Amino acid sequence: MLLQTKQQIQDFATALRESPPVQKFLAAKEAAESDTKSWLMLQRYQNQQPPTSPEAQRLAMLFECMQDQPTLLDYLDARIEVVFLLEQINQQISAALGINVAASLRPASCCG
Amino acid sequence: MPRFGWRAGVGLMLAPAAAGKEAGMLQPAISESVWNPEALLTAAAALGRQLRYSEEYRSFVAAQQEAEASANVRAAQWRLAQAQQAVRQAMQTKGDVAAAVTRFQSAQAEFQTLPEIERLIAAQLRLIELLEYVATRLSEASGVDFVQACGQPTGGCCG
Repeated sequence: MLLQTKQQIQDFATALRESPPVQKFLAAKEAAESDTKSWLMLQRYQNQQPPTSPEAQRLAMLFECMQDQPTLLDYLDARIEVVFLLEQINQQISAALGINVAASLRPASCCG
Repeated sequence: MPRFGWRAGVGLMLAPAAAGKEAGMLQPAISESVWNPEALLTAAAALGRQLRYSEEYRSFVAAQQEAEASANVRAAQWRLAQAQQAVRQAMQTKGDVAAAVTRFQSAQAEFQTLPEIERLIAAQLRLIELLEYVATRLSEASGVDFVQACGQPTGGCCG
């Protein structure tokens, strides 16, 4: 890869990092991570597989508990904004390039 | 443009070739983009256009054009399609499936080892590396996995 191409990509990444949604997200993430109990709760929730019926009630309770954690809610809100921004960026790059960047990098299909 | 299916999961499709007049537009767009979401998206589009001038992208387009124009590739594609049809038929008629599969694998190997296809696959891998580099830098910058964030379900195949 040419140095110039790398530099162009890096310049854009720097601009992304400095954007308000990313700055807000990184701050919210730091705050959420420092709230160990809430962070562990979120990790536990996110690591759940799609619930089978005996687990569904427990998962719903966990979700309820998370609603009372402002640091987690800030983190999740900020993350949604960044995900939305990244989706728009992917659309823009992909449309201009003629290749869907994220879709091209997704793992191959599931049927082995 | 036709889509070649010899490498599952990649699924690249190309748009028409890039216009030269757009080269060099990235820097102004980026310098305006700090703290301005609209300019950031404009810079994203400019980056996409710039990537079309990359060696990886141009090599891939050239390799694809070479493959599309090759009579050898077309002939091998035809034999591959025939072999695939023979497998289907053998399965439907309870014929010699194993023999049909062997012939299909042979046709597939022949196709994949055509010099034009080998060059195309190599070019495709280099292009994927470039796209991976983009995704990695954007993931690092944003703190969110870029591919996962933009990963819409593709409809799946496993029922």
